[in-house]
Amino acid sequence: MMRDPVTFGLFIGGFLFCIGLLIVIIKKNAIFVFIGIELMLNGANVNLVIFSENDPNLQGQLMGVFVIVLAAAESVVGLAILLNVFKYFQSSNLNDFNQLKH
Amino acid sequence: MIELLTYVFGALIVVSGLALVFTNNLIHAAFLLAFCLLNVAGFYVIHHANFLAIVQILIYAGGILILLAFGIMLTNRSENGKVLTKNHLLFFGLLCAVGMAMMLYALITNPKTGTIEAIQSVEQVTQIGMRLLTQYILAFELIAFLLLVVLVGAAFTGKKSYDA
Repeated sequence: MMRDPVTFGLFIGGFLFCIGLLIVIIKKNAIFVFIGIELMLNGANVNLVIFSENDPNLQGQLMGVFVIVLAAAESVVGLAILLNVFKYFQSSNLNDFNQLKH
Repeated sequence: MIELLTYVFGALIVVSGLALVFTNNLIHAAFLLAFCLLNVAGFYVIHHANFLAIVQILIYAGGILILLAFGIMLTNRSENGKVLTKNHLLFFGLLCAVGMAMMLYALITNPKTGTIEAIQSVEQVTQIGMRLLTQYILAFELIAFLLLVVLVGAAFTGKKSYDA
């Protein structure tokens, strides 16, 4: 079954998604969590590309382009917010962000 | 040959993904992410998504990774140059990830999902461009506007304020 390239690709996409989920949950550093989110988005994109291979309308790839742009936007805003949070708490450990008061 | 390359890229993705979980050094993690994303781009080329592979390399390897590197350098201070981090919630993380993996495995190996012959489209970039400007014009304009908002918002959020 693993010799079938489509199934193999789906497994790779699922693997990337699970690894991303694991990193998002277990890592303490906020930047590591961003890395995990990027991995999850890539896992979804791998699936889109593999299903779009059999589609003459290329809908999966078009969706993939939008996913990549959204990932870039998310990462820009997230890092800008993290910079401000770091200025206030002097730490990027998620467990230190324990109050909302400014 | 193509089949061999598929497995090579797949194996490299798996190895760099596992290394990402086990590393505690943030700088290593950023470079491992770059390696992983480049391999995903190779995977896209094998699956006939050349345009998306180029976009992946340009935006991920070129843009997001540089942002991440700046984020690491601006937010983490250490004396010996190593930016180390720790793990928490190991049990629940493994529970979620393994559960998700089992669900995906059951879904993928479901005998109802079969494969059909690949259609090799010749003018892929032309097709994508035409569709972006006709069928998907609303999404295209919305995403352009979103990028503008994000740029302005990030510049405003990141600027030095008087009281912070």
